[in-house]
Amino acid sequence: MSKNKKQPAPERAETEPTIAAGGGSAWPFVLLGVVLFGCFLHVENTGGAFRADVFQAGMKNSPPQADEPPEVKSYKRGARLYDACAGCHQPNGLGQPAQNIPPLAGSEWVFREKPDRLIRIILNAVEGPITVNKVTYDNPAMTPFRDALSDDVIADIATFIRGNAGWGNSAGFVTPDQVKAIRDATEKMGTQKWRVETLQAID
Amino acid sequence: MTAAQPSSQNACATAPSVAEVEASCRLPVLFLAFSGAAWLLTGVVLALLASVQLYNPTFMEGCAWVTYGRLRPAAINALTYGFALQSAFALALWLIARLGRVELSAPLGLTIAAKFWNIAVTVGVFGILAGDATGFDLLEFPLYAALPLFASYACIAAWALVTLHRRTERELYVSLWFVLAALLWFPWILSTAQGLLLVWQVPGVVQAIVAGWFGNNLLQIVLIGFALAVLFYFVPKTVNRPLANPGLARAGFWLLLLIGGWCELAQLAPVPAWIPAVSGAANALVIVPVVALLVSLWQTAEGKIGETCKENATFRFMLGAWILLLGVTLRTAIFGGHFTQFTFFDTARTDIVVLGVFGLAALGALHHIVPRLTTGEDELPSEGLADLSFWAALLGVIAVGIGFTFAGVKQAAVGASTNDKFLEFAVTGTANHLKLVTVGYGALAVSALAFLANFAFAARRCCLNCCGGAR
Repeated sequence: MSKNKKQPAPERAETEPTIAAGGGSAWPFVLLGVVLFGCFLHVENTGGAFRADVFQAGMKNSPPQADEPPEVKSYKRGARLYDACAGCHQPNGLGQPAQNIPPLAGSEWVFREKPDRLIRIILNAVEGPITVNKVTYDNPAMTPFRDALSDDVIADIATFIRGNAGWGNSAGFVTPDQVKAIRDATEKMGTQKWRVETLQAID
Repeated sequence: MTAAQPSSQNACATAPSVAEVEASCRLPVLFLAFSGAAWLLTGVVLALLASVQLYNPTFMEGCAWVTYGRLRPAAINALTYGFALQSAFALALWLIARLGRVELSAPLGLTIAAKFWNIAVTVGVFGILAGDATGFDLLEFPLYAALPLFASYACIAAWALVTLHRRTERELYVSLWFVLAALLWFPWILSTAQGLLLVWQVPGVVQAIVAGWFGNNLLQIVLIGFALAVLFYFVPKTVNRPLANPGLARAGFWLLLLIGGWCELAQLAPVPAWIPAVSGAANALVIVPVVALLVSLWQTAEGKIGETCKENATFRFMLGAWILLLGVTLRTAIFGGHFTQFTFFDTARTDIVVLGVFGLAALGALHHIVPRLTTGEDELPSEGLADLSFWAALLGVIAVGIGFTFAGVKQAAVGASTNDKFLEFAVTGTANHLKLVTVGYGALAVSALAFLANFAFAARRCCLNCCGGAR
């Protein structure tokens, strides 16, 4: 386009580059499409499903919390197993005073430093009038779970009941070994239920 | 907007002669070119000293100012802001004036702004050496240097855009697309990154992403953009043919702007996995525009490459930049993923782009521009020094690139295995590769010296010939 300038330019004033006519190719766009397909596969396989909490290429979900301490796992198992108890003691742990079923939430029988009384009650149940939070309940309906539940299950349930912050309980966790020790020590009782007076001697 | 412009016939009637255009360019372009080459020398010497410490840790120990953690950022920032961007401004001004057939606006103002740019870079480099570096890759200049830098850039770019607006040749040639894009891209990324990192201070992980985004855009769009502007100007010019297949150039230009900014975040680790995944995809996608642009250049020169190489020093530099651009793009796309993160592999990319792709293109262009603005001849006074500058620069960049790349791959292999001999294999084991890097920086210093000597001869001859009449 600068060709129509015919000024007496000095010798060194070389012409500026010009553009050839025609041109335009489709192949860059075809190539772009092909590469783009590969890119979609790449992002699909290593992009972590565009989640902000996935940092590892090749994963689509955030990694599981593998380092959860055993008592927390026990508590979570216990929360599911508690369904068996919730029929009488209710999901909120308040019991049913009208039916003479005592509460677990805030109960001084549950909420003690040692779990010994609670484990004994779950193993063999308790009968006779029992005073919980200055209210006396008398219901012989609870059954012994000695033969029904394993040490692990009893430990999980006891951990859940004792540590349930939602109920206001914050006692420590219970291990299957503690349950086994008491189960062995009270082997002779069979399915006989505890008397309240006997249990009160237990710490 | 177009209605207000003079018609093409009027434009030709009022267009200044080439001599007038070059006279207006002389002061600012020569000043920027000389300062750029001086910073190239300073930067590679600093980088050389830093690279020695990688395998000889007791080298220059005991002085905090010259420890690796300060020397290396000082070197890279001196090379990027002192050499690369400064030479880019010289080339941009010259290309705008020549291709637009217009005299530069405010040459004196441009020179003063360039002077302030140099002062800011000097303050920044000393700030880094004094321990004030910000810690973000390619953004290490402390705020007291970054702000004057931005202000001088604003002046230079504003006058460049005013010159472009006043051009008498209304048609924008391909080179000017890249110049315009880079001139507008740079203030955007610099202000965004400085604002987010130094002023508002975004939290933790985002900082790494912002700094990585800035660094990549600076290399991939701004510096490679300027390099492509130079290539698209000098390749058709030196082979004396029109640019073949401009459609490819147009497609490549827009695709590069679209894709280029997404690349090279794959080397960041502590970010959600989708960022390296998308960025790795962009690394592969950017091959398409780069190849399209390079094919357009190849078709222009096809059949005359060997011949032009022999007779034209500038074309040799262009060919070197062409090969390195293809090489660095493929290299990053293939190996630049998770495997090589946290290694020297990424360091190699910065060096190849700044010193190789852009550096060779800029040195080649300056070998064409400087003699025209000083002695008025076509070549620099010493052909031998021009050859030396070319071969030293090419071999230097290849040595630095290969040294860092292979050291990075070796480190990556150690990192990927359960081998616990990390120190033996990844640190002392890479010493030989890193010695190659030192040699490469030495060669680059020789190249810069040869160009500066040639520049000085030309300036001296100019002064002898015309007794300062040109000024």
